[in-house]
Amino acid sequence: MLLGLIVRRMWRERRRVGVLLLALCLVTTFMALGPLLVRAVAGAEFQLRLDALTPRQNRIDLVDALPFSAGDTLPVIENTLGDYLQTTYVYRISAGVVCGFIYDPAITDIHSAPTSDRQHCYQTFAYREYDELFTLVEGQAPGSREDGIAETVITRATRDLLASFFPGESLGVGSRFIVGEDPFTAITVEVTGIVEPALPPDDPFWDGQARLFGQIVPLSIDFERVEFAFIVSEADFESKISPAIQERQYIWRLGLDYGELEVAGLPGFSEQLAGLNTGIHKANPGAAVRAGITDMLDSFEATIAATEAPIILLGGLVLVLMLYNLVTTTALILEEQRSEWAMMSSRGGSGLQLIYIQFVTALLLGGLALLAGPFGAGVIVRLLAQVGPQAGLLLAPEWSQIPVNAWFLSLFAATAAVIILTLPALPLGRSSLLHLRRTTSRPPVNPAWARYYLDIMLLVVGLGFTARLYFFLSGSLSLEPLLQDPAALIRAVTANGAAVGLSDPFNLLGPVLVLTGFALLGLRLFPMLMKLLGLLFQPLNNLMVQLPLWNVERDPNHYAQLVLLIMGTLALGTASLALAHTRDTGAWQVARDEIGADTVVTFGPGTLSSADWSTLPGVTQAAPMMAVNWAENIEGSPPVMLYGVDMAGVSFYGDTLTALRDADVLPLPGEPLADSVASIRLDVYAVPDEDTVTPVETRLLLILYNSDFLPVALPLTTLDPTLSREFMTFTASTSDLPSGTWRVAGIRFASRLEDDTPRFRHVVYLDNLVAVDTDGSETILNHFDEATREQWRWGADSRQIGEVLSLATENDIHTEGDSSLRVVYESLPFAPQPPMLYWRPQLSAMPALVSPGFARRFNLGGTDIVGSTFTTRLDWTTGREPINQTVFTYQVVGLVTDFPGARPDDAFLVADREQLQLRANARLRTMTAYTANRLWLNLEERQPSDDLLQAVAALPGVTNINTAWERYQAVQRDPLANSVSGILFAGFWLALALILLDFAFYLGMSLRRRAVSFAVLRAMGWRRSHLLGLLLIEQAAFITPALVVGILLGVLMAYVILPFLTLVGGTTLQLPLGAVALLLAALVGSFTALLLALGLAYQRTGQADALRIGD
Amino acid sequence: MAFIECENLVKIHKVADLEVVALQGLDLTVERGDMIALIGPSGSGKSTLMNVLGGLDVPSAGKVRVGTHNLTEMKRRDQVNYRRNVVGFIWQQTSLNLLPYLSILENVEMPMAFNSLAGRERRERARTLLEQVGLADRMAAHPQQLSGGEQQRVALAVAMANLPQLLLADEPTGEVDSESAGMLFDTMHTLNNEYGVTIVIVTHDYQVASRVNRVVGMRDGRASIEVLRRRDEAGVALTEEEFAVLDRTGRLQLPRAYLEALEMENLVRLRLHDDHIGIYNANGDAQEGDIHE
Repeated sequence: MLLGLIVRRMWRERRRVGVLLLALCLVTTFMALGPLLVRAVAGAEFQLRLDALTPRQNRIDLVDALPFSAGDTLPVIENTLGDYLQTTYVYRISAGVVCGFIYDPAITDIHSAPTSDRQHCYQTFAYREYDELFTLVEGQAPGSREDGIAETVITRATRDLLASFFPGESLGVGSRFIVGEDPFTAITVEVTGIVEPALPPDDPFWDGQARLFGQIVPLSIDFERVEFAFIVSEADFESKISPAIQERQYIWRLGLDYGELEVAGLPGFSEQLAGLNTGIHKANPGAAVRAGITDMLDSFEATIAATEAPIILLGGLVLVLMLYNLVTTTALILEEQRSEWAMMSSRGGSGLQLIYIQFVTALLLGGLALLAGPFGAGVIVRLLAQVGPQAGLLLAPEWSQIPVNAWFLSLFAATAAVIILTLPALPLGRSSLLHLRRTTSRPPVNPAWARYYLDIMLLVVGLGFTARLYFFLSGSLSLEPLLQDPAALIRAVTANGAAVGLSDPFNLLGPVLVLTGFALLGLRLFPMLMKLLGLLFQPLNNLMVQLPLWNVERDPNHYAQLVLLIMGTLALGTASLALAHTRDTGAWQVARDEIGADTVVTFGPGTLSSADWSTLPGVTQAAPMMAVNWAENIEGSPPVMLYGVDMAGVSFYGDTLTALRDADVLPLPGEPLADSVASIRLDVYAVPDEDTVTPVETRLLLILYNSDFLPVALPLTTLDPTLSREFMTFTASTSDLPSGTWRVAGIRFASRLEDDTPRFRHVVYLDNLVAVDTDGSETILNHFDEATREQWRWGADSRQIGEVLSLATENDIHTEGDSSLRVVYESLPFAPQPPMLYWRPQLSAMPALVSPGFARRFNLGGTDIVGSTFTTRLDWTTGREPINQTVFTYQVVGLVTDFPGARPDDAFLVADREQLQLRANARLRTMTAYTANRLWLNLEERQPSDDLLQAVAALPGVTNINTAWERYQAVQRDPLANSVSGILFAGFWLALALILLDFAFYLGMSLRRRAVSFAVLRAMGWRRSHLLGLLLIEQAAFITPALVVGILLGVLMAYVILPFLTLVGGTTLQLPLGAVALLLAALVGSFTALLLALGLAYQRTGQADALRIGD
Repeated sequence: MAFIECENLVKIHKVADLEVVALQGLDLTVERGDMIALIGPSGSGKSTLMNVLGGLDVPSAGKVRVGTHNLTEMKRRDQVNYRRNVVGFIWQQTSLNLLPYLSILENVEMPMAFNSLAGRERRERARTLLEQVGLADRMAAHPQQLSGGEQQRVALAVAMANLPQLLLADEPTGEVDSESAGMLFDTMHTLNNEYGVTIVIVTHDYQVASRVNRVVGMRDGRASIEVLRRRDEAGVALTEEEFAVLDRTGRLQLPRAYLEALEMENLVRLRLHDDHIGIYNANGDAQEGDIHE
């Protein structure tokens, strides 16, 4: 019967039970929210990455040293991958390259002299889908021959590359080369055809097969070779090539379409991938299954695992607030039911039986709330995805994928709530009607904690433990460090998490005791505050002002609890908004700092032209620049960046480059040529060598710099270069030079004796360097008169004697002007280059800004290096041989830490681009020259428009486009930060709903109890509007202090949490005043609306009826 | 042995720093099966006595026994058992007697359910009790569907649910009309006859007080007077005598009207006569006031 009594009781009290059930559902909903929110956040981030999958990631490679059986492998692939599978290509390759010479076509003896003067290296491929992947353009497809020679085809790009780089060598139909070093297994391969791949070279399908298109591989500064691949039939690969090579690989390249894959389908897809792994390994145990998406899947699960724990912990702390709310609501409801409890007790109900009634009631409600919790959380996540700081940043999981954790947490919250609901029944179980009457007839007594000053004791003890913790972290009890940099304490807590946290529970006891003590102190002080307010307003002598204050003062306990709850709730909301706003600002700042600008476009070498980039749609500022990444081939050694900026666009960088801008402008070397110049002419008078009778063949090279300061040598030719003792006119044509800016940089002397004596001395007189335009007009570039002598310098690698001894003005031998330049030079054997005279060379050190990391990296010194000059040498190597070397002398004009795209600790140098190129490109070839390769764009809006992206992608040479918007979105989707903000925001609204429930219940109860007093007031002449005003003033009396303190608490909470949220760029806490004002308005508005609604409902009661209610 | 025996019962209520002596050494005996009324002004200790007899309160001093239960030495479990099985209570406010969300049948069953009585037996007894109180045809009704008098009759049945030995009624007719009060009292009489339950009624209702054979008047925490009636078989009062209560210590409460009439206050003179004790005004000639044994 007791169970029947319980059910009937619940039905009878269904309004109150409904209130309780709603409150419990809010509690379980909140607690179950954590796992769903984390998955929604991680899911959104993952979906973003899914949508941005590159074609390379859209594939799976099955790789093994043994062949895959098609009969075993294909069914496994099709069954496990299903509709995701788009393409399947099978090919086999020789692992690594084999090197050898290329032999003349149609030779029969492969040991005769090769046609290549160097060994090139090659790799073997064989494709099952050969016909689909290649189109024959010359010759014939590879077949199978009986004479042991393997037929092969090469790509046209390979043939052309070899021809362009090594003109004396050729690779074409009929060419042969040898695969294998063992003479017993080595095989001769003959090119039978030239093919064109169906897919462009940059298609991701060719990953790992780049040699098909030929590659120039630098082996040292002066030596390169070609590496290429050739294609044989599958049969020849197995029968002829395989025996000759060490290792081979069999590859199945599967192209997938993840367009239909969504976060909700991840678990299923993971299973499919696992099935593929298992199935493949059955037949090929040694096979590797490489899926580009596997790391993403693993990181998705790892992200959830890492994020859930702190979010659940944070949710647990907020749960305490909600449970406290539940306690107050439960206490109110039980207070209303006192007479019923007392009656049952007086009728013989034992304490246990009454507790049983309450427990079963709570259990039934808890069970319903447990079931509702995860679904309620799902609704909340969907709401958050539409409204609030996380709008657009969440991807709610499917209803069928509510995680198990959510159920467990809902169970935990429901259990806690059941205990909370049952506990108050304990004292009620012992009451009787006698106690009921005594309680209502006598004034309330001070609670026990107040009588024994528990709040003060908790504060004192808590502060003691907190001081202990502070001492452990900071080493002293002085508050000065805390006041100077409060965040440092938080960082110390973070860094010493294990020591500070669970390993010593006393560490956490302090803050907990302090918080609890403050809460109780607040309950103690609240009545005094109300009394003070009453005294303040007493002079007004207005009953409508004093009466509500007196009412609040007279019943302080519940109001004080309500104030505490409002403060806690408001703190949640404020903290959430502050964190979200700070993250938004910080995230954008982080994104821009990482990327360098709103959008950064990377170009291939020599493809970034000088154009007016600011005309691109939505662009407000544009700055082309050069970024050179130098990495020493030592593991763990950080890279060094060299940034070359255009000083014309220095305003793009704000004040960062002020010191560089203010430095002396170094003149560029040489002399610029007009676009219309067609040829260069130079008069040369050669004197024979006195020590030898052998004629000297005067050879000169005109050295020009292109716009990237890459030196190009133009031969200066004359009819008879062996003439002496008379002026010869040497000419070089510039009409075949690519368009662009050219400068005459110098003259290289490559003369030779006819008997090839390597070392000899030569004297020449130079005069009348003239530029001839296309229309025949001439411009004298250099008279070589006295005044110009200082403009000429030997290059350091020329190893000549100094200019004073080798260069002189000659007045007697000249063709134009007053004099010529007498040059005495020595041709040296084993010199890396013939001697070169530089015209107006750059002798000064290049002004440069360096980062502290750069200074440390090259041991330049500390902050006192500004003004000093240094020389740094950068060697690029393959690991053994240097393939490039850059030596430059620079003067440090300033230290810089915040260059766009660079982190403060990075090692980088910033200089004028032309100056840097002048030094960096001195010994390079076109393919490795450093050119402007980045374009930084600032935009009108954070998000680049589609028009801009399309325009940029269509530019020639673009290799990459990075937008701060993408990075910003990725940062915004940081799971932990996002989840923290979301849980606090949801916590605010749910806690607010709980408070409103509690307030509505209390208000309704209070109005019923005070109906008589209200009726008396109305009988005395008060109008209904006066009563409403009284209620509003009551509300204002307790809400107002809660608002101020609540916001301050919220800011403090956000300040404490902020350092734990990374990726905010060191942004200080920012409070969105507008949003907080809306929050306050929501809170105050909801209370007021509730008050008005209940007040209006009360107003329908007549005075007589109200008085009867009292009776 | 009397069924209810109160000896020098004292009850002091403490409210903050204030002490109120509700019972000041009350002596009272009630025989089993008696039906008595307690009357007296507010603050005389009637309700306190009821609470003590009902096991709701514990006396500060003195002795009180109901049946075999010594109420001063009862532990909590004994109190629960006592409230369940020995005593039944009816309060003046009907809202305190009945649970509004249960039917009247279920209300009567509730105390039996607390006593772990089997369902069939519960139901049977409840039906019987409701028949005895004249509400057999309204078993499915809820309290708010009944009149005040009917509710009190149901309350009576609820109080009798566990067949207690003692029935305490605190102003049972206070909120009902006179006709209903009469019906209620008749019902109580029936139950008294049927079950032999001892009934103690606190009342201001003269009609009720006049229908019991013994009325105990209380004043200042003690029994001051008793009115005893003898009736014939038809229930008509044959004799009615009012007595002053002389407690064990020999204390006597003189009617205030007598005191005022003779201007007696503070000190009086006592004189022993052969068959009575004379009480005389201390100031002046004593006017005789007889106390007969």
